[in-house]
Amino acid sequence: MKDFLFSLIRVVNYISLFYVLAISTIYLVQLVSATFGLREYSRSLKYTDYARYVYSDNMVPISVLVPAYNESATIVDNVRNLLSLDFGHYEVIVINDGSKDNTLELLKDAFRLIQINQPYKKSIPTQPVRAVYRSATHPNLVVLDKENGGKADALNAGINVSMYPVFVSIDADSLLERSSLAKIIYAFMVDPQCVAVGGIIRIASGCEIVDGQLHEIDLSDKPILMLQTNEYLRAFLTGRIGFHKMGMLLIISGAFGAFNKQAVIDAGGYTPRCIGEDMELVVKLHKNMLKNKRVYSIKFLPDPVCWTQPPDNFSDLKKQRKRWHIGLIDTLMRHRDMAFRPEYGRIGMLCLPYFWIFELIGPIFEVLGYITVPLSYILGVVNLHFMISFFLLAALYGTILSVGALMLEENTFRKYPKVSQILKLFFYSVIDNFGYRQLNSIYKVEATFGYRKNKSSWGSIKRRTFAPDEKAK
Amino acid sequence: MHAWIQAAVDVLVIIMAGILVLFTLGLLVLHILTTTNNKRVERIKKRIMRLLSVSQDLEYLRGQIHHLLDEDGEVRSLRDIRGIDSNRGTIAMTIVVEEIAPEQREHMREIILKDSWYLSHIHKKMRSLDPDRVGVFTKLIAELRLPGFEEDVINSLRRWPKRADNQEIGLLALFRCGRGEELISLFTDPSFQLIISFRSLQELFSLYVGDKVSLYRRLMETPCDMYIIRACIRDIGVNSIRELCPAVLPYLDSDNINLLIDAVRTLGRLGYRPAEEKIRGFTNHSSWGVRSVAVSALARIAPKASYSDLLRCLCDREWWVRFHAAEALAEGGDHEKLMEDVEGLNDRFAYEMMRYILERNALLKEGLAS
Repeated sequence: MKDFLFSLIRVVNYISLFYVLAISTIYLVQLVSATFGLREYSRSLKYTDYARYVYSDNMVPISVLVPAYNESATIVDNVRNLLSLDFGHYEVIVINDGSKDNTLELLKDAFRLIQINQPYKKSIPTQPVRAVYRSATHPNLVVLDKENGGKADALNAGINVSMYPVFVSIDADSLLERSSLAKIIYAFMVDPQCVAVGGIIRIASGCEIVDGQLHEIDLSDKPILMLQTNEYLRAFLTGRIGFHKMGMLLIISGAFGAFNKQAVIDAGGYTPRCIGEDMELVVKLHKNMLKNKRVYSIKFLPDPVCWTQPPDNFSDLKKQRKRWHIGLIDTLMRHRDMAFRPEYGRIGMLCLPYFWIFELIGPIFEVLGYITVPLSYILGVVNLHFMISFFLLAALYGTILSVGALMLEENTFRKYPKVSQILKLFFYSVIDNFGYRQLNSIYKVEATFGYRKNKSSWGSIKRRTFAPDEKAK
Repeated sequence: MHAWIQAAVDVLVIIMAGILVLFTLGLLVLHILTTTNNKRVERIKKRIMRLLSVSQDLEYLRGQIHHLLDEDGEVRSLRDIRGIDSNRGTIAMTIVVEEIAPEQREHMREIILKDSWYLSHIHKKMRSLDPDRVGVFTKLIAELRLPGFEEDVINSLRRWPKRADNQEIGLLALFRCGRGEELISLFTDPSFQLIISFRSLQELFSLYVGDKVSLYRRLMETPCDMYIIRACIRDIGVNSIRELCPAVLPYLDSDNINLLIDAVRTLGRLGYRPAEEKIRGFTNHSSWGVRSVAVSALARIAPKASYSDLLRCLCDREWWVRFHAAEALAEGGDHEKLMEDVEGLNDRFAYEMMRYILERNALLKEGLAS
């Protein structure tokens, strides 16, 4: 019995070690791939000219969809920001998804909303729309008031009312840079086969925001926000660009993405009550296009920036991360028929299996490893050398990835030009590996085991205004 | 087994630690080089920084080009600017071109055209096998409308037939230089394939600086890509080139729906009466796309004579046709009479659409007035 237990612990140790090595190596490959991808992108920026199209009649007109549920803290700032972007023809559609707070009232007051009897095409079924409002002061602002049906349902309602061939989805707690819309939509101008584009999400905490406009970029003083700043940089500048470069992009963040409306309608729109509706939609688009043997592309651009408010306490962080992971599981389960199917190309043969093995099952072994390796040491199965090496290797890999992402940032966009800022980011890219990363893995494992129970529940995260926050405190 | 794994892990730890140290040093060097603003340090390191830091080098080159344009004596010719013949030099040129006023741009153009050294440098670089480098030089040619590089541009278009960004910037150069002959021979060459989006192509057509009438007439007479014909037809409408309406008319018989839509839209926009009856017939077309464009076109050509057709289209089964019919009807003056007629149609969808358009127009009018 003792021998069996020891063998079992040893096997778990090896699997954990293999997982840590494999996932880190994959991330390193992504880092290298992202380096080339970013280089290519920044070189092409030298002669492509999106600015020429900004106010051109030939630019694709777009509908900006803002689903809002209890967003009274940020909604007015957010809409003001969206109404002042550098772009010729666009409409902003705010979808009030049965908010229980005064989101709608705030919008009515701020933008002189007047109810209008607007008939619209019901391309995708949704919960009933109670009323449509138009602004008397901003001709391109439309507000829908509908019964609660979740974010996916709200976006579907927005798609139904939208007038233009491309829509952009943006979260109500996010802000765009003035040129972000033009940059993201330019991808549709350059590539007629493009059906979806994602932009980069950055953390707004610590930045100075006045009247819905980003005035000065800075970093927060709160460790939890700094850790997320670092994490977002790593995820977007290596992960997303890496997947994009390999033609396997599976996630376009719900906070900022642009889509060809007809392609989305053909795929059936967002899946209602689906927690990871953003990833699920992208998988559905891949599926629909590949099934119908259509030439298409789904892209990530590292330049169009969306600034967002992350959770500022561990309780909200846990809710958010669990929601993300349940969304991942939900998407993978819904499209399990795509994995290992050659007709779905590299998405079916490489990308989805990667998500199944490394993003879904992997964290379980990672967390098990955190338990069994020290246990093995206590029981005398492994020596101190092995235990330290195991943790050191995991930490080193993680730090290399974070510092690599920082280097990419420094070499391209340089949003954080001060020495103090880069030192702070560097410090947190090391610290990140001693607690925060492990905590995220634990949240993932919790989400995996609570999937059945929580797959329909959102969990509410407290919203904050864009007013100067933690720096002032 | 265990010893073997341990050894492998130890090696990996050393490698990773080494990489981390390198990355950290790299990050620090990069940061110091790109952000230092201490003047003394900057002076000492200027040369090294120019060698290593792209932004510093570009900043220096940009300043030198401005000195050349300002004729302040510091820089007398392009040749005096160290590094102007590099890729960065050209990027700096394109940055300056975007910054300066049109008259200065003309001045810069003259400077380049007088400088045979720089002209041969552009020719040389346009033969490069690096698509990004050629892209940058092509952009300069396009922005300054530099003549004499047509062959280089066309060669680059043929060298990278699958790169949309290169195709767009190459065509932009030809359009902005008004090279009609080259464009016609390119567009009528079956081996040349357009890969840019239709909207990008339309934008290029809108930027053509030569004789549009002659170019469009010739392109429409020659068999070429349907996108090209569509772009010509659209631009005829946008620029109100009425003399080309007869050339557009035959496309009302086209089997290609998109081409037909563009022809209907353009002839409607220009109020071309000879097309009225055909367009009226299109309000019954099987494609809703054609019907909705035909409604708007008909309202422009003969608003009063088409009133009953527009009312009929307001009852169309397709949302967009009803929408366009309502917009066209709302252009008329007597809204009370209009609503009476719409109620008489006994069609809920037609009524709702008409009411919405009138409400929306009133709201926008009131809002804009206030």
